[in-house]
Amino acid sequence: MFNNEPIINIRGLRMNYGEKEVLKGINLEIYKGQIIGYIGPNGAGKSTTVKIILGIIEGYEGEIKIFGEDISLNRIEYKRRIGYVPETAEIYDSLTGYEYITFIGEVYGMELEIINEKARKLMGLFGIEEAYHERISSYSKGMKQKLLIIASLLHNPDILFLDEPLSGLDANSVMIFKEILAELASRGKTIFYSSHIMEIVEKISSRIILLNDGAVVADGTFGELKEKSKEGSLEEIFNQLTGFKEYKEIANEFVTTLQGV
Amino acid sequence: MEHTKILKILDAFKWVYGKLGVNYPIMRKILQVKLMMDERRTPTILINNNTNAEEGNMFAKSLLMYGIWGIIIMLFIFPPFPLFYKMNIIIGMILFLVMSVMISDYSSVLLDIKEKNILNPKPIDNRTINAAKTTHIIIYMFMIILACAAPTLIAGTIKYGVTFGIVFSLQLFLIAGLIMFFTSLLYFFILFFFDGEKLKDIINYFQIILAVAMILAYQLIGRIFVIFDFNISFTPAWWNYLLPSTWFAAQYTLFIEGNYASHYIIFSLAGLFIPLITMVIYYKVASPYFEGYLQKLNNNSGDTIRKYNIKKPSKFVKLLCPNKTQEVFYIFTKNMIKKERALKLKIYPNIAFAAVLPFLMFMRGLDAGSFPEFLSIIREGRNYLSMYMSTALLIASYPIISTSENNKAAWIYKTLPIKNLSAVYKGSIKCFIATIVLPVFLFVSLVFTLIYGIDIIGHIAIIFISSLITLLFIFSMIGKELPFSQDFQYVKHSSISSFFGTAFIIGISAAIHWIIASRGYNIIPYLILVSIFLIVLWIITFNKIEKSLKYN
Repeated sequence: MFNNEPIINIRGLRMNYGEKEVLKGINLEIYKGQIIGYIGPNGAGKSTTVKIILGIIEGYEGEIKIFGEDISLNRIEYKRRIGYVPETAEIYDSLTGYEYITFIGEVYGMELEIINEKARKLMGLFGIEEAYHERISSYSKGMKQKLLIIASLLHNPDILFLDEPLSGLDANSVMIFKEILAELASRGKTIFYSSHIMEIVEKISSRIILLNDGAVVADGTFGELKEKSKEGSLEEIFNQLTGFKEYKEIANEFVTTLQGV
Repeated sequence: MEHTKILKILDAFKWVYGKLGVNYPIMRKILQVKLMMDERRTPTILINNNTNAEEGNMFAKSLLMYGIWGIIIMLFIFPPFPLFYKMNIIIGMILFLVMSVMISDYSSVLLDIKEKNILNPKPIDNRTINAAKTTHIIIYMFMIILACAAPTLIAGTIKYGVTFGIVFSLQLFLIAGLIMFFTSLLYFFILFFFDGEKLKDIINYFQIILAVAMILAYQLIGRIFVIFDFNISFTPAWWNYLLPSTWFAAQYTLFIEGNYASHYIIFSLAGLFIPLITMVIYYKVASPYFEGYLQKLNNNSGDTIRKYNIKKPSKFVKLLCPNKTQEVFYIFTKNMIKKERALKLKIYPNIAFAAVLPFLMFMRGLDAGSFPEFLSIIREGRNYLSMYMSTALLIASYPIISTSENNKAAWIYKTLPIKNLSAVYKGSIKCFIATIVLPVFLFVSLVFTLIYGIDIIGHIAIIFISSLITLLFIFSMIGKELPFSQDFQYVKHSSISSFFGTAFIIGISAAIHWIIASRGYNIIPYLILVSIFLIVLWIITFNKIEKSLKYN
């Protein structure tokens, strides 16, 4: 790794929701230019980790340093260099695409003309320029997702947090987006990518972190994980490491139940 | 399951559906689910009430509201005017009420194309699906019409005999058909020319108009008999032939009063045949086309690439907002208020009401006779103090700014690098003042300046500044949620405290103002005093916010 200082450094991160311990001491060092595939079963604590880093959820234990600074000390400044695409496309959809994007961009301190020019061009590249001045409520799911992606990238962030960013995108847009990610990483941007689609994570990630029940159970490149677990695909590694074997039995019972009545 | 009564009544008509080739058991099932979902919808007519959104009973409650309206409508049957006038008003009101309700609350039923995704892939034929839809609408329309009309039906039958009862009951069926036709015709034309978004806007306007009309009608209902002079003799003008209420009203003149003047006969015939013809047109011609155009609701035509220039904030906004964050949130707030329909539905009726409220006080003066007399009566008092009521109404609605349909989108506040949250509040509160309070206030002050002359400008300034002081108090007491970050439930909780808080502080301001004005003191020192107080309060309020945010 070039530049030995990690860009994200997490030490002993713990989080409780009441009685329930969601994160049980996570340690992570993430370096510039990495594409991290952050995976794990439902409820493993993936979104919670991301939301804590972004300051959406508060009240954690442990230490999180981003760009070398503890985020609990200065909660605002680091956000200038971060982009986020949330899992559910919650958006003020009464506004038009133009109104939403310029609003977000201006909060980042960009000039209105520059935002407008960039946003229009980026929407054009994603093939949704004609919707720029339409209400977001009239967008399809994929269009909303594209808008969120553009809104998260507009201020040229150094770290990008993506939570299931491909939902609703068609195959062509997925190709474009994967290429964009690779390009961004090669220019030194760091990408934190959580998803349930193993094929894509396997392909795009330079490093895969598998979370299970609030703890990191695997961390390495796809090659390293493959070697360790002696399984062929990320999906199988995932099943093995999360201790899930009986999928065949469950599927079988499912079908039997269907046909039984 | 519930609704068994409705469905049992419907069971009696099973044979009709059989004749039409409808699969009745399946239609009944679909209908049952639809009725269940309706129970969970909040009707517009109840929107200003603070009823907790308990499950169920919402429709029953709104029916009660329509029933109360029915009783008010019924009152028109008693005064000793010709039946023609009375029935004109009664039927006109029923038509207006039911049609508005249909447009504002049942448009979602009429325009529902989501159900297509659920029902069409199942092995159910279209006829059954459409029958369920039509029956659903008819059930509700009848319940609403019945609630509005039943009191009149009873009172009228007692007063005018059974003939009245029979004529009125038959008319209700025709009225139902007419409303159905006009409502779908309206949608049809809108969809023909515009796309789905425009239609949603227009539905939203109707909802706002309905809410405003309800509020105003409460105020006006008592005075309406005074204003109108019913004793003039009736000669039909050409436009009378276009009024559906006239067609129906004429039938009473014909059957009960036995007046066979030719225009009454023409009206009566129109009242019978036009609804029948429209019903035939609706089922045979319009309805299939209509279904086709409904598809447009989802597809928002991309063919309107409008050339927009970027909208730079105006000089006025720049002047109001000294820093960028304030400016951005000013624009954001403005866009949200202008665009979000659910917000408009809550704010705009207040604006309309606030604009007319001070003048409602004059209504009693209207009996005075000539206009100069009327004016002199007003001038004697200090009616301009009623402007306080107008601003109070607007300020009490401030917590609405904290809410949005899309309140979950408020995650952006956390991820955006906003250093100074007090700038967010300042931007949105300034926008609230400039786009909601100020226009209404300017309108009201203009009228009062015309009445009282230029001398009251000092008073107007005091009223405005006192109102801003009240707004700041309300803001620091209850309004401190981030703009558009709460769901509408929040308003329900805060509106009572916001209402009483506003009433209290505005009340004190108005009382002080009244004392000073009535004793003939010079108002300039007081004006200076409140101005200084406002500035100090502004600084304290936002400094406090900045501090509280830094350390938490």
